[in-house]
Amino acid sequence: MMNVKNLNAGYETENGYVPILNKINFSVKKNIILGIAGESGSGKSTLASVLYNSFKYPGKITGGDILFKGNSLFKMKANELRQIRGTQISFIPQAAMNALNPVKKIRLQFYDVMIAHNVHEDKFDEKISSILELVRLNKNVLDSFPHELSGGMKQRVVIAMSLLLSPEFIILDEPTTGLDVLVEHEILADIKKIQEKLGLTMIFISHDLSILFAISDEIIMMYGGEIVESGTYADVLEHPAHPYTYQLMKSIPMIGHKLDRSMIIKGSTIDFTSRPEGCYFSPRCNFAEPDCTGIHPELRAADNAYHLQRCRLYPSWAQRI
Amino acid sequence: MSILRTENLSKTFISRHGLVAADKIQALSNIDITLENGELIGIVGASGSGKSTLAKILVFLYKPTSGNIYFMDENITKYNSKQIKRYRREIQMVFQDPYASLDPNHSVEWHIKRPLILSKYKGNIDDRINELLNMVTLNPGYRAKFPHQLSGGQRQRVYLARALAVNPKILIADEPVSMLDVSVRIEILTLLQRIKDKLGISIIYITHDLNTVSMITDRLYVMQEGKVVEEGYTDSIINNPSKEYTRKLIEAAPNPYKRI
Amino acid sequence: MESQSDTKKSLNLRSIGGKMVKPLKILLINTKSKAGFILLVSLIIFGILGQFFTPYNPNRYEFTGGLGPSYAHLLGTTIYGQDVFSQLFYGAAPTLMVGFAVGIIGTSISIIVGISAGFASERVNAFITGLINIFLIIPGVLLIMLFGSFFLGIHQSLGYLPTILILIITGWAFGARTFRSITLSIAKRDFILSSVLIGESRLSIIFRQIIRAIFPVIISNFFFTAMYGTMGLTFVEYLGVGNLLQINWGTMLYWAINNEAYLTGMWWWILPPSFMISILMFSFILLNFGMDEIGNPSLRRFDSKKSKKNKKINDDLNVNTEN
Repeated sequence: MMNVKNLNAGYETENGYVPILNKINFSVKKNIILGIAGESGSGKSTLASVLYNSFKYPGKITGGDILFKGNSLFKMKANELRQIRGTQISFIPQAAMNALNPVKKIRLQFYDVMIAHNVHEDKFDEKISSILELVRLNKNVLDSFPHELSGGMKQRVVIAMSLLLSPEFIILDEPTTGLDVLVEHEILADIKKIQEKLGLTMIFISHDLSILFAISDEIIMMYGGEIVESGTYADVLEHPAHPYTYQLMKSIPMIGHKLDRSMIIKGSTIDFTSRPEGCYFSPRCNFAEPDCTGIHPELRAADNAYHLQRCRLYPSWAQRI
Repeated sequence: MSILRTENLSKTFISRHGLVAADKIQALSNIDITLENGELIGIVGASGSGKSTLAKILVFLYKPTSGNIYFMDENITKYNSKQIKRYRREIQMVFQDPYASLDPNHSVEWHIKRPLILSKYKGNIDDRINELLNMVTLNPGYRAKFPHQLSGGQRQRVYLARALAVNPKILIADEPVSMLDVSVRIEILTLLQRIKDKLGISIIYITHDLNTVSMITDRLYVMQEGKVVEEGYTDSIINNPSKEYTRKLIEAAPNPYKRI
Repeated sequence: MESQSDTKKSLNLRSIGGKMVKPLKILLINTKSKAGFILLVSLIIFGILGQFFTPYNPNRYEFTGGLGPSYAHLLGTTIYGQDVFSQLFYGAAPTLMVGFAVGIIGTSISIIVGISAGFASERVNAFITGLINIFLIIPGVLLIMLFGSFFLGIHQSLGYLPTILILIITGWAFGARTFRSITLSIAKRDFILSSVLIGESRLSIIFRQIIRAIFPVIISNFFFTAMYGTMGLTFVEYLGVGNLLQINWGTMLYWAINNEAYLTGMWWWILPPSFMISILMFSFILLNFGMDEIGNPSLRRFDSKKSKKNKKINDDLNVNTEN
């Protein structure tokens, strides 16, 4: 469905270009949820806006390509791109629910989206009611202003809005931050249900590994602007092949676990203006050896051809656990 | 003797529209909570359960509509502003958003120095600042940094050092880790536990996330729509919840091994 | 290492509002305010020199009237035989002084009234807001004309001091309203609540935290009020209600226009003061805009992509170095 090839991107600053994304390669298969995991400073938000082609100055793409159904998004003309966005790809950015127009009723905001993409007027109400049912919202919502709705309802409105033009492909960036666990759980369950029912393809970006593993079919782990591990959720969850994944999994707070200082990952996330030598994760890695600060490791197959990882010590580190 | 106790605590917010019309919102009704000396308890509830209102009442940022608060068996509900100021030395609050709780115009050092000066600290202030930074596992090199140079976890640790500088007996932590990266949460939780163990400070940990609360608290209060619906030892509530609401909260706690 | 610290510096600048920069330095960060600052400093130097080094006595009527520009009279002479350049040179200082006086005193009043309103109890806030609104609707220039005509009626004229006083009275309210609303929003932030909790007094919070947080807005407001002051003075003099024997750019315009310099082709009499006033206004406006951009990140060109984008940059460029 979507292919990302050798993507490099970064930001212009007053002191020159700072690279963020480093040779990102992956493809998204049809009808799956691809989860992209990364903490703050992993480059995942940059990746999200590049994927939707909404990456603007001071951001700069320095190489690579993104193919959507075989066509390059970067080479597309502006009006072609506008056509594809919304009707085929839609994007739910971070904190989108706070970006709803505060002085317009929800109904009008729905209309705006459809008018912008030349949907015939007769179909408006039919379309809206079918989608409201899908996201389990009451019709009263249409005649409310955003401030009259709870956080969960607003997030559902945003999801409904992204579905209005029946896209096949949706990118969600942290769709549940700021919601409490009960609402988060319901919305995730609904997203999964909608995805299965409509046969959608999704990229789900989050820093919260727990929800990511719970909902995704495939996982990409990001660290320092590059992919450190990727594979099916079961492979990554049960046999983490990169120490970052392993250490991150161990640090997740969970019912029934005992608090233990060994769960902490030492150090803090990398500074893009001065990356460590060799493996970016080596300063924080519990398994690092002196050689790890030498050559920058490449992505290679772990236990199966589809499970990739970037640690030069694999599989020996994993045997030491 | 309990260090902090509330009795029938209620709070009604009145929002006025024009001169006559007013909406009454019952945020808390008849809350009875006890915090023993040196204890770390949790208050759990979804948004709208009134848990943040309770926190703000306990530090006198709001006034309760009715009911009483006892600090070391002394009724403090009717304190005047001078007494409130003295009471605030005993109880501090940690905010949810570390990006908003530190003043962007001031250095880490300033944030820790001010409470020391205000509480008329007797010893060497410089040494004390280093000691407090050490307590929250930051090295003294951070003294000169400004908030925007720190990560979320580091900011939260600086904030803890600021709160500890007042030398309080009680710490109220309102969602102290929900804005942080997952891997940083453990750091802050360990720190809270260390503050309890080493300094003997009693802590109320307020959250919607049963994952974190189950790992560090001794006892739990579960709140729903302004009422305490369940209370007891953390282990027994987690393993054997008596209310449907509590069960739902446990069910919804994110778990990578549980497919949605 | 060098480049890293440079990047950090740039990040600091970006999150100004964030880190406090020394008052003078703040003027030089932004291109607009830098240009305005250079213009203003040149004008101030011009004004100071003008008090000591005029080529001729600006008050004397000793030359042939209506001479065009020449080497002897750089900007010609007036119809009464005064040297225009000497008048322009000498008249700069009072024009600037009035602007600065109105700016400084007016802004100080705005700060005191605005911040105390924003930080006081609800009732005091409502009272002060009412007061601000009353002053806001007093039309300054009209008031001056009223006073001026009254003084003329009793064969007196408005000197600099009464003019400044009236301009301050009519000019402080706008800034006070801005400060009040900013203070209201800052006072609710967690970092102020936190200071309340550790026992800071109100005064301490105002001086140590709020004033620093709104510093760019204060500077920006100062230039705005100073502009109002200069403009007010020009109007007063231009309308002829001031003391016409004083020499400043406003009175120069009054005499030039009263003698229909624009009809008799004496452009050297009318254009120079107009031009200098425009330059002064322009420098104030540049400084005002520049400060606005620093205080309000969404106006900044480097970060013009909305605050969300800024957050993203900060997320990804997370500068932190753990030991």
